[in-house]
Amino acid sequence: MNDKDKSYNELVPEYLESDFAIALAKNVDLLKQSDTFKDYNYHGANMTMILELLAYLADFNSFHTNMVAKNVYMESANVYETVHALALLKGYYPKGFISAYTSIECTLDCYKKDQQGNIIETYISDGDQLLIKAWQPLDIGKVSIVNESITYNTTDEYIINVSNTENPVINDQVSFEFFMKEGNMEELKYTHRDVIDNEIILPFHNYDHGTYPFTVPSISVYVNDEEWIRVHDFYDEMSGLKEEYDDVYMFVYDKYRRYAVRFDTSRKVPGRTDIITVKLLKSKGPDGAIGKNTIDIPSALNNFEIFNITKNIPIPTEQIVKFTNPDSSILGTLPENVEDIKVSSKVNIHSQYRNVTAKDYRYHLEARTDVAKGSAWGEQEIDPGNVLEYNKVYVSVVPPEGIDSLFIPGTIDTEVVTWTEIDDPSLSQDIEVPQAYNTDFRDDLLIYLEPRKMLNAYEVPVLPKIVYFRFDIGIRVKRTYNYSDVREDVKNKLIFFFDRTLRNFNEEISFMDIHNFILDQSIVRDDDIFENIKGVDSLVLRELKTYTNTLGTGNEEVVYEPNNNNLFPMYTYESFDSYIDNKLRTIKIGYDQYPMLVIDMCRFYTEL
Amino acid sequence: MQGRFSDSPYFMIRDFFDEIRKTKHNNLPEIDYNWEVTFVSTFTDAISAGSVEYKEGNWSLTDGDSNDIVYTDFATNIYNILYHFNPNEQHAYNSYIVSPFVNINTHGNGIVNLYVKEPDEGYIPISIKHLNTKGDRFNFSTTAGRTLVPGDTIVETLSGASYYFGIYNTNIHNGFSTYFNNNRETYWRKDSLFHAWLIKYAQQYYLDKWGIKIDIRNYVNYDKIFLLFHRIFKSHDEKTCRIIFYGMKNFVMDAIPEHQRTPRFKEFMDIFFDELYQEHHNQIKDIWHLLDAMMTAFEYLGYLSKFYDMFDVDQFDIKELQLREFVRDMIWILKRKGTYTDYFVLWRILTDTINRLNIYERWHTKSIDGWPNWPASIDPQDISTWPNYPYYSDTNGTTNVPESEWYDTNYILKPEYHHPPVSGGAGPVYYQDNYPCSLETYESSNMLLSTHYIVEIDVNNEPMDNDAVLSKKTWDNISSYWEYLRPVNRVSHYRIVLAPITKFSCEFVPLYHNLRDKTAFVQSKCEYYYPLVTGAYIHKQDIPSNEWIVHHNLGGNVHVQVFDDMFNEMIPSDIVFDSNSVLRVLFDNETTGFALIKVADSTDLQSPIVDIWNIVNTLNNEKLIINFEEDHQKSYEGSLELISPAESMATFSETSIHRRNVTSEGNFVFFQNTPSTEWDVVHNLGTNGVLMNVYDMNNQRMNPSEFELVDTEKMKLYFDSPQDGYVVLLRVGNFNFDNFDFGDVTIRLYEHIGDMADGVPPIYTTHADWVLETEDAYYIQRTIPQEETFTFNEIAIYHENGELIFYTKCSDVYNPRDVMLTLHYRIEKTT
Repeated sequence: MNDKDKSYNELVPEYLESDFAIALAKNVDLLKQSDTFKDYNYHGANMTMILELLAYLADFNSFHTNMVAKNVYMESANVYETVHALALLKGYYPKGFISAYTSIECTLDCYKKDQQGNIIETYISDGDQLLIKAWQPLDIGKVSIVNESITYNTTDEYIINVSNTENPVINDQVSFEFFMKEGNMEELKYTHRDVIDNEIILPFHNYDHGTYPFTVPSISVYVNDEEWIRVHDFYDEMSGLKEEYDDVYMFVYDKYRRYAVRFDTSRKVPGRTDIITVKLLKSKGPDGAIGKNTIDIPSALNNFEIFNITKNIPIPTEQIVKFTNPDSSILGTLPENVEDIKVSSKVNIHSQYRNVTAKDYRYHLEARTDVAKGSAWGEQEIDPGNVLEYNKVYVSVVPPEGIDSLFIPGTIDTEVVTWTEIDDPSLSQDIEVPQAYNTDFRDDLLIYLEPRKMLNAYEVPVLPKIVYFRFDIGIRVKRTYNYSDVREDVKNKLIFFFDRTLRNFNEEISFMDIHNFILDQSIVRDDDIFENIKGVDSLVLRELKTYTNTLGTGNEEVVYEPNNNNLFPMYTYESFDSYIDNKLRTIKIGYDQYPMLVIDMCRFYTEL
Repeated sequence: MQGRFSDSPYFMIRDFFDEIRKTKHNNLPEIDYNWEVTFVSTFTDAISAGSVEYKEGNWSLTDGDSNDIVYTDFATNIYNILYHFNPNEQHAYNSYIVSPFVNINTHGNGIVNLYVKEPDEGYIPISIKHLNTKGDRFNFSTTAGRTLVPGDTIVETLSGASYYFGIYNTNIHNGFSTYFNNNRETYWRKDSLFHAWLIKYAQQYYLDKWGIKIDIRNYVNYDKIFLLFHRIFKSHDEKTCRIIFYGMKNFVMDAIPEHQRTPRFKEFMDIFFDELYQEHHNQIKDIWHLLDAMMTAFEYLGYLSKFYDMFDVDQFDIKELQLREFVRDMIWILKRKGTYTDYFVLWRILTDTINRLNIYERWHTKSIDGWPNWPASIDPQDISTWPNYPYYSDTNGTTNVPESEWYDTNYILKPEYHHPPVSGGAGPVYYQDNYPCSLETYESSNMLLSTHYIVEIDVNNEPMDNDAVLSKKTWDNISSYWEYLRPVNRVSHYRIVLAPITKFSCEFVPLYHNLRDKTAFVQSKCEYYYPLVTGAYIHKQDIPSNEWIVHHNLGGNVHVQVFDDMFNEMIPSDIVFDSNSVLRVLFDNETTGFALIKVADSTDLQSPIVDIWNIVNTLNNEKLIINFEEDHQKSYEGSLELISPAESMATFSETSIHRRNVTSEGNFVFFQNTPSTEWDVVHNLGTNGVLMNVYDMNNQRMNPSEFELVDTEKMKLYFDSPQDGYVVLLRVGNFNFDNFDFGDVTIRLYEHIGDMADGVPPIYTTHADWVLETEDAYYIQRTIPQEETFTFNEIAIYHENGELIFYTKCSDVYNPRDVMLTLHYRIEKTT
């Protein structure tokens, strides 16, 4: 590598430039300069053989040496094996096949009725628990591009509580969602003799490798019927607070493109009498992806079973009203290739498995399925200089829609405030608010956070303060559109703006943003393109009111003027005119405050 | 062209098969054995033959001939075992070791386990028997082998697909199956006999053969899980198969024109490329494996650790596989730097212990000195500023701790505490209800969390080292790594907790119950209050019963005296001597209390059986305790008179009963010269458990109406009418352990076992921080501040009157200068 013309950024090393022809010619040239061999016949049989053999060997060596040199650096490496090894050094586990998965929307009839509508049999009642077992396959009746039938599976067990708060019975029907993953299930059995270097190397199939944090599992490993836990790395979930914390394994895709179940001495390795059962999916990768509503009851449910645990009866297929995937499947990929690994490992090298910044906490919290949004803050945010706040970390969470197990619920009566004017008087005026953390959830949350907790950090779960918003909205509709259609889409778009996937703690709620969001026709939801938004001629937001459930000031509707005392919610700038209260200023909400919309309290007007 | 090269040179495979065939003794009968070696990594622990397991240490490989070997040779000579292993007189001479890591197959005569790589299935295990080697062809018999077949359905599955790999002895298919095809790559797995031969024997083999010491690892990377042998081909009848080697030498030969491949030239090239150049070729290939902790040569593992600027792996005293895993996963430690988890990870990996690790944060209140001008100086050794769980209360170590706040009962009341999971970090969930700043009150608690934390090593479930409770090496190792990962703005403190356990018994009580082959110990006993004199036993009956079963193990000749819980003597309905070790105390009603049992100094059988028994007293003493037994039951009947030091006389109403006396010399005699209904007997024997006989001034035995044991120095006798006379007392021990006043306890630590007895001065002397009494136990505690480094092997606890109360001897406990040592002595209120 003494070619000075080469750039230091030359990342395709030709470490040794010598092939068969060069080596042969060089050797002959050198021999010719020798007194002994200068007049030798280089085309004699033995001489030719020896020269060609040596040149062949030199060529072989050059190839190997160049290959090795090239694969020393991640940037220039081109052999999967070495790219994989280099990625591991950075703390990145390359991925194998990943199956597509989708959520299934299922609606069941609770009763079997005769033609007159009389109940003949009750299959589901309020308070019942339904069970969908893990590892149930379902042939969806479609074939892949290579004409193989596509199967989706449950890979997790789902318990559905039929209750007013979780999955209520509405019109004699109950609806719920769960996930299914593409693949053909395999069950493999092993003993300790198959464990070598604490690994079981699996058959050479294209298994679904799954994605962290494994919320939709891709593999189950049982040791003597006890299910072990899949971890991202062997120091994951390592904590004195975790029960059964050492029954863990990794599912890896190794540098020889083999799948392996890996155990670790520092945790636990199955013993000599143990039977290890592995359930996993042979994946079609991208060929297993499906569009929305591809899965449908008529296709066939076959032996797929939904079981009523409470009544100890299976739910007959004819009770299934709806069984479909409302959205297209997500993921469904081939194993990462060399270039994928290079990119992913570069991104991953800076990732940390400890909670230091507010973002660390937020991402860690939001990795839970029962947390939609999380927030963390500390002394600097709430009271800089107060030594009592040293080393304390406050965290708060809100759950996704439909999950109410985090908090002890309560309501606020909107009649005591001024939110009395609503479009539809029949709608409830009570708004649900969290009253306190459910202590089981709170402890579970702290145990969850503990493995990433920094020394001498004191994590305090704080009840989220919900800042409820309402508006008066004036709409002028274009001549060719119907007002009520347009109003409905404006209303739905407003609801979408406050969707929990889009909103965050400690946000600035700008009314210009809401205005633009509603009118931006490129912002659509998977199941709604808000077509009638086009009919809005002009849109006016006014009469904003907020209500913050736990302000405790006696004036829960207050929005503070800009201040340095961390009094939230507050306007981000002063009103221009001290005589007029400009309510449409941007509002900043606090670190423990989360914005929600009370759509029932919003009023819609025809704007003239 | 045969694709890629075999991972091993040809000559090593050839020589391996030559070697294993040397163990064949055809003149001896074959015996079909398959002994399983239960220990994967060392081949030394155990062998099972059928259902019988032969563990190292409980048998030896001797059958009486001159080639006897003992089990210690077991690990070093895998071939000899088969000549000499002789369980149940069934010799295994005609045998081969298939793999010392997996099993010993004594039937195979050269059977090897291999793995065929079938693209659609995976690595399919086969066992085949080597027949001969012809050039590059290794020929095998399949009839003695077997294969384990994927596709044998064991469990019905929903998809119908299931595989059952590796379940040996359940689905053995003699001969070959059709489950793999010809021309498939065939591999040695890392647990094969070939690997064992390469790792343990090949170097010596070539030293003997060539006189050159070669580095086998340079020729073949035996750290890979699978080594390519090469492709396998079955014969038509599937009774034989062959594996055709293809390596560097074959590649080179392919480059030579066919007409020039003369035998001599071929041999010349084979030697060069197979035996010499293979080393270079393998090392070039192996460069990539230098990055892989699981496959790099072991001696290079440290470079990977240094790649992360992490630890010097030479310091680790753990097995190779664990060390490789540790280095492989170092990046994940780095990504958790500064967390409790990292402390926990290092603790688990570096010590492999079941002991607890506790990490506490330090909290302060506003009331600390200097407030609000904090930081004022706070002595980090002031234990009152630390939360303390589970060893003592959180009330600053005062002695008046309500029992409800006392958590150390875990040690005594919950035997499973000896087998806890190792514990991790701090935080309110860990502390449950006793965290200094509870989640409910954090806003109003005025508690300030400091940057200080304490790492507490509890050495009370097992020793940290094989031969030491805690060695300097272990401490230096773990503490240096912890410090390596400590955040710069955090302040660490370290504490070791040693909590010897004992009771009021002269017998040593061990601290450890789960030694896992470790030899270190901590043993403690009581020395002071004569809790039990030699040959004595106190039975405490806590559960009301009308039949107390007393396992005293003192032999047949014993005194027995029974008391209720208020220390008044009770006359049971019967005391039955069932055996030399067990007696039963019978009552008409269920009751609780104590029984004092003491071996008698002498005994005699009555003969002939008459109503008056003149007893010859061999003890020749006047201070006597005499009791009688009738038909193996204690007798409370009859009268007794001490006639002289040599003679006594007993009178009974029944004449047809076989009797026996048990007699002992008393320790103390109290005379009541003035007739009284109440005798205050001050005996100063130091025990409240005493046996007694009461006599009048005429040496006639009499029975008081009541009998009360007041304390360790005093007792009381009550009579219905004023009596004079004397009482003979015999010390048994204490059965009341309440309200002992230990005074200002002194603790002395000695450097060597025996120093205390030899009068060698202690290396450290201090006073207890506090002594606490609970319903079940006493606790004596001292946290020794960070002052000096020493190692101790003896602990002596002294009463303030200078008498030795408790004594502990133990393996080395290393107490570094910068570490607090908490001695937490636990004394159960029992014998």
